[in-house]
Amino acid sequence: MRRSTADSVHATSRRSALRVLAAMMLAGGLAACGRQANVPTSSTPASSAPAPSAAVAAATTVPDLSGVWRLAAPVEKLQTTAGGAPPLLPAAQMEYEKHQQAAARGDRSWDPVTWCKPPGEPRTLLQDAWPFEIVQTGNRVEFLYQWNRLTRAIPLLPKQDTFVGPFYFGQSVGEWEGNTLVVDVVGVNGDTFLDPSGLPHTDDMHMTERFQLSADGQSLDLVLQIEDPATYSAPWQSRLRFVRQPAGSVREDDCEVRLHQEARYPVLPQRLYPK
Amino acid sequence: MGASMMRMSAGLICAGWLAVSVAQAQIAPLSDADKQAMQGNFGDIARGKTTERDSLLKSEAGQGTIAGQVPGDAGAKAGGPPPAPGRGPPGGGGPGARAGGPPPGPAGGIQYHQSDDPRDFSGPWSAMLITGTGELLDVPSKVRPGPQIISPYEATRLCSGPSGFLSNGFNVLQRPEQITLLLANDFVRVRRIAMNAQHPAAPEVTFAGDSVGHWEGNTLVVDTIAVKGAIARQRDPKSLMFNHLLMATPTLHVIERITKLNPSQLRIVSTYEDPAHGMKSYSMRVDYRFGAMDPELEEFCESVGDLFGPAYTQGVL
Repeated sequence: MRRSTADSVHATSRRSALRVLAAMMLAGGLAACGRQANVPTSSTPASSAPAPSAAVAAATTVPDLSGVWRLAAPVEKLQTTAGGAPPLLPAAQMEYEKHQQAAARGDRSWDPVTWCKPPGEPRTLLQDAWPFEIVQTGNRVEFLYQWNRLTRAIPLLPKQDTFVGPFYFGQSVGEWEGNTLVVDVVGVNGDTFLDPSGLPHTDDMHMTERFQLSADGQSLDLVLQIEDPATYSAPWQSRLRFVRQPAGSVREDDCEVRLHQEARYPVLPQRLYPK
Repeated sequence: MGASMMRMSAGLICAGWLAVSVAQAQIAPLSDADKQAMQGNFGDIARGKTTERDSLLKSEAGQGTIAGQVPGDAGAKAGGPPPAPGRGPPGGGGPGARAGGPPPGPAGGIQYHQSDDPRDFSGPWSAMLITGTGELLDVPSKVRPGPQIISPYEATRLCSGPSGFLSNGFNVLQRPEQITLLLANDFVRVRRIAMNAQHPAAPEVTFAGDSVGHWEGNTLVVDTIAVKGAIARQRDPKSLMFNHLLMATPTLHVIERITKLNPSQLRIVSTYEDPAHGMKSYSMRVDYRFGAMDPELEEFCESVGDLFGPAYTQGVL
């Protein structure tokens, strides 16, 4: 959500920087352009046993969320736990409605996901109701989304007092409170939306996620709490449920290839890519 | 800028990216002239990255600290407002962080540790080949084209596939039933290695391929089939672009032998066999060292959309 002139200047600067970067790449190739490195995992203590790793052994005292999950039912718009609309402030409500009206006309040009930008959090959990895999080790919970092969790392650490970002998935740390994985998220890029309908937020949003595995291990409940005083008049909560899917059911998705196949991307000059 | 020029620029950006990833795959070592050209073109960026990486790798006792996680495209909003009150002192940095704060420091960052367990590969590994230690063991002198199994557009994503396996780094999530590699390239991104499993009878052909693994002593042997992508490329000295030397075919078979030489060094010897190319034992060896990879730009190709806005997506430029 763009909130101020300063932010607009910001975005302009960023685009300018990207243009410069693009021009530099045109000149001959960037030395190291690729996907950002992933968050380094934390320790895996030395182990004399060959396998499984000690990291896994350490995880046996808490629920193992590992596996493939998918929304129990598609969610286009997040609702509060009471079933109501999130308490948007007037300015945010106006922007939200503007997006809704555009979407109703088939215009989603306001939505960066339409050109494959990461949906952010928690929207990636909802996007297209596609499955995702959780890989849990003793010190980290990793979300491997099918959607464009995105990944999100949640290191299991005490709450950090260092603020960096914003990032598409924010800065997350997780801790176990009994059988509940509590994830503290800050610094989620305000250009993303909370859900496919376009619920806005700012960079300063504070989100708390509480994941709880069902007794039979077949469903995963998530209670989200959103605090963003610049967008919402009060903190609000939403509840989501995911159901376990067969192992190996996360497929490989390349957003750009997919859009191209759907004829939503222009055909790039093939002569640039020698066979 | 005219529409055609804009599209061409977008294509060239991705093409440049292709070239870069291939360079990292070290199919063909860069010449000194190439390196100088790249440094000349991208000196500022390269210096920034190098500084960040070095600071991580030089951290004490083999531990690294990184003060962020997946950054937004081109990170995030450099020059943004200071951190919100109540969030604590800004101590982090990195490319995704807001500019203006103190440089990255160990406080508040994510700590990770090396393991002495020779079968524990958990953690981040950076390709030492970037510094020129990659080695080609054997390259077939003559190959013949094999059948194409990907579409022309997919060919634009050919940093995937076996040559993309050897990216500039990866992070290992290790569990008994699956070893997951989070790759530092933007094409494959995730590889899943099913341990002590068999390939499915009819695996889906993907950029990552279908991988199964088992231990031979302390060496992890990974067997991969059903890959689409490029096996190797050649660099055109005139254009500095890469031509696809070999395309994966349905018969491509990749075997990677991954061994931890010591707590801070991992070696991967990859062998590619593809009867359709009449190719045997095309191999390469790459060493990785424990430590964070470059905190790099995320989703750059997708960020082409940011450059040109929704018009790019809608093809109306």
